[in-house]
Amino acid sequence: MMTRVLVVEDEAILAIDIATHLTDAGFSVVGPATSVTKALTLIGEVGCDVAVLDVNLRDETAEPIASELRSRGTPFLFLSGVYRDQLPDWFDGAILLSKPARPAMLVAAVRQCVGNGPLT
Amino acid sequence: MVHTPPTNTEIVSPVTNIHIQGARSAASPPGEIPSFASGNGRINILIVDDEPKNLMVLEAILDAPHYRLIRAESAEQALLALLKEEFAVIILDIRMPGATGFELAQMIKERKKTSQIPIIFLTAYYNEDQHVIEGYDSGAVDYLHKPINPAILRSKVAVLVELHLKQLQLENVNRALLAEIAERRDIQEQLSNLNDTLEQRVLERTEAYREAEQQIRMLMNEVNHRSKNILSVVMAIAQQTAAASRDEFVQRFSNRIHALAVNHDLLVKSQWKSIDISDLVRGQLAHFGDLVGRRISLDGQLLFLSATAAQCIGMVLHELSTNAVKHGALSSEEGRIEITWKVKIGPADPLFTLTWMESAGPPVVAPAHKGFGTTVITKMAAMNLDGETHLDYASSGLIWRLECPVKNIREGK
Repeated sequence: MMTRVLVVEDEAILAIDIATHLTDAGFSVVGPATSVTKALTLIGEVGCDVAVLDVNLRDETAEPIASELRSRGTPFLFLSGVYRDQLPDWFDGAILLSKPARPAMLVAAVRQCVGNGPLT
Repeated sequence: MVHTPPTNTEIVSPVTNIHIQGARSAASPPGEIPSFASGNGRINILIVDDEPKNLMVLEAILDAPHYRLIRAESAEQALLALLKEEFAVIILDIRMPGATGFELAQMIKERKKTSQIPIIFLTAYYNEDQHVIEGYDSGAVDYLHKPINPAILRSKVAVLVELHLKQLQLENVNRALLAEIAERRDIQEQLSNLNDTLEQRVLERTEAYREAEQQIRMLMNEVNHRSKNILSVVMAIAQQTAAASRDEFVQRFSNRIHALAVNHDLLVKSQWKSIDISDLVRGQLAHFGDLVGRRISLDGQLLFLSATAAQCIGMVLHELSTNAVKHGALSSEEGRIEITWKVKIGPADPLFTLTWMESAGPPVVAPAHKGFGTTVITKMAAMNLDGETHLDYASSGLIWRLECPVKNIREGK
């Protein structure tokens, strides 16, 4: 069974690009979701083994998604242009991949994230 | 009995003169007249005796240019004079009809205004008045025995005048000091107030500076964030731009980046909010020049888009127009494009519709392979605006339509 990756990214073109690379790398992409509500719905209804989250989603943050994934023990990483100094408290030491990320790097990070199990 | 005085000019002794001049010059700066001196700068001396003859003698003895002698022949006259003017010295005969010199002195000493005026009693040798005079405070009162020794009287008067001048000088100095102290206190208070104001201003400035600095830092972070996002978009476009050759890739990629840049200018101009949809459409079609208005028509209401919606719609318009040039309405001489937008108010959320309709171009054939352009105008637009896109390869001309709740394209989404 393919590993399911939830992609949460509000910029559709990036979401599509990320999804393309992950699909090409052999993952099954869940989403992409462009909002917190959609992401939480997908987690509930479809589920995922790992997630790639943007930190800021329009006027929301990914905090509720991160805490839901944490409570489920699902590993995830952040992919964001947020400056490291500006990371919110709830980020809590999660993996941060800086935007723009090279596709190979992203794929490797997701693989490592799944392999190591929950990171947070 | 009184000695007949010698000629006044001789007797206004140098000693007396020196005393007075010294005292006056110290007490009164040039042009300033002591308060008890009369208008012409002379010092008032009150002489009281019921015998006009004696008064004349006193006048003769004390005649000097800087003394003004005021005569009083009774206690009443003396009191009247004391009410009207100020005196440096009073020379008082003890034996007078009516109120005696003692009684008058008593009244003078009891009156606050005159209590400090020194009095010289004129008395006879070895009489019973001696002990009464000694009962007075020394300094306030002095006495001379008759017959009067002119030199001694002049000397005593001069000393007392000098004493009063000194006192006056002291009072002046004191007044000046008090004024200065008051002024200093005032200045100090002003200084203190200024200091407080300054401190307040420094605090305010510092606070403003801190806020400005914080704003700059926030802005820098925001710029960083946006730059990274736009770089990510550029990278995604590069990744997704498929091409048969390197030249073709460069061409397509450059065009897409150019379209992004045009959009970006508009976003910056509108400070990342409220972008006029008409400006956006015209911006993306600008390179068609006069085709806009001739073969390309725009029709829609005034509508302002959020930055996100503007970026998305801008990219869509770029892909649609690129396609139109290559395969669609703008690849022939007659083809036309109608771009329309509207907001439909209904029972549900108001719906925004944007339509791109081509006509009179070459017959349309649906492409076998769906490239990135198609992804942009369908999937990406739908995902970004949380709406629906319809793409119809009608043979008469390509029709693309976007529908989404109007709130999704407005600022604040």
